Amino acid sequence: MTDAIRVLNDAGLTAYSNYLAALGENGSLPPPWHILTNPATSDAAPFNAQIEKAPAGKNFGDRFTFGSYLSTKIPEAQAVISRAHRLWSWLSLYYFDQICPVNSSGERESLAVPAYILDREFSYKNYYRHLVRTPWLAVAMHGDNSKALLMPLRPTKAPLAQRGELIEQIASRQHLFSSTNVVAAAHALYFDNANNHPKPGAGGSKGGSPRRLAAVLNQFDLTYDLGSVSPTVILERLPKEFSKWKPTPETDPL
Amino acid sequence: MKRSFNSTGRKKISLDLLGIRVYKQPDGRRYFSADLSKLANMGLSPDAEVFVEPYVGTSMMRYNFGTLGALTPPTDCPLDELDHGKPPLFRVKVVAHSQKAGQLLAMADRVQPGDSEQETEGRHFLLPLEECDLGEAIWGLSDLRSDARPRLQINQRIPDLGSRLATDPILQGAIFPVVVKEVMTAILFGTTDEELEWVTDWRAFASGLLKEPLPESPSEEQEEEVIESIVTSFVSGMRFATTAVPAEPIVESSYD
Repeated sequence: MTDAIRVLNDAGLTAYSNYLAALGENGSLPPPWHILTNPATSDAAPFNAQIEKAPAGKNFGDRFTFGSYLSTKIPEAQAVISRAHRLWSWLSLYYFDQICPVNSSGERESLAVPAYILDREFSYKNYYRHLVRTPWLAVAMHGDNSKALLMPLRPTKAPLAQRGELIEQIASRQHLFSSTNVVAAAHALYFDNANNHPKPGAGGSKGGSPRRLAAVLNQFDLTYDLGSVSPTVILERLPKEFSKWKPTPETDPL
Repeated sequence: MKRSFNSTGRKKISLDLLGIRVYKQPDGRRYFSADLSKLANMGLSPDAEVFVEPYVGTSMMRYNFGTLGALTPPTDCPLDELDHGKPPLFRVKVVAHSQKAGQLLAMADRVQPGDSEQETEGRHFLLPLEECDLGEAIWGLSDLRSDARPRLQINQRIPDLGSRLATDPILQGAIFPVVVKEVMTAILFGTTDEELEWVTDWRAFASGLLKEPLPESPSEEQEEEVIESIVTSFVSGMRFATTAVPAEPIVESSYD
């Protein structure tokens, strides 16, 4: 079943915000689905697009698939859409069963509000936490290289409800996330193209980890322009601790 | 004065080569413009690429301004994707294009935009005022590690704070001596570059208060004494308390 994309109006945003606050106290409260379509709480989107909660009857298997799906449905200009807080808040409620699913106890364990509702005022440190906008933006900006940021290390029951270590380290720093070269290098390091999943161990915090990569790239930033330097040069200049992750021409050519 | 060393090989872009302005359009959106034509005087390769990156906190945007030899500023440079509440700072990068592609050849960081209301050609305020989101704080100082002139930041939520500061000796007396102390401490103890225009201005201001040049290579103890003397001279000269005391009402004598 398809639905027309809409946007929450002020009343809708307030109702959704109130629900999230109440959910923190009582995890079994049902989402206010009615505000998605009620004209008192939502308006038509400024573009025409139909979406499905579970295309072909299946929930999304990972955040990359989810972001790819959205990027085919939301073809508007990236800069304008990425700040459309009413749209992203509507979409997060629409997909609430997948981004904040009911657990085995019949309750939802919600994250902080920025995971679901975008502020009217742009705030990077809150915007990147959004569970619907970030997968869309990562795919829109980085294409297949965003797999390293969005695919889970191992199969999980609620793949849209959590963020991985690599995206936390990269997306939380806009100068890294906005660089196609940095994300291409991260993909080359941590993603196994042959098997289409992150390399085992890519979520650690020791030498060669995504956390260390972010720290090393912050140092690179003093000598190189991360928006211009090629992924190959980034990989060449990484210290020894990253050796085991570096692709070889035979296995994973850039 | 402590000095910092740049081991990366890149050049530092002097602020007087940059003309960056932030302005608002009638729709309320913020934009910036940048006159970077003087960068050509740095003697770097004309095919080097030029980028301008406005930023606030961890949010940043990036604009390609072409090459040193053929600058092509974008028509519009909106600042929409920067965090609200604080004025943007700017990074200007000159980046190697052909050989050593991606290497930074020159950079200026923490560049504050010029303010046409407070700065005019050849005339600079010692301490420009800046309204911004300071949470519950009344006032603050801009980043003194910046190459840009220090700015006195005041909370934008408080109506007329700027004009009250200009006229209220109690506010002035509570804030300005602290500012003088912090700025002079940054100059004498910190890593500020003494060739910066604002450092020269502040040193001249301090010398004027002391009525003698600042010591060339003072010990740490001497520096503390010098700063204390500067603040004392400043407070005495401004007569904050005297000005704050209401004048005695003139009682007219009556002669019956």
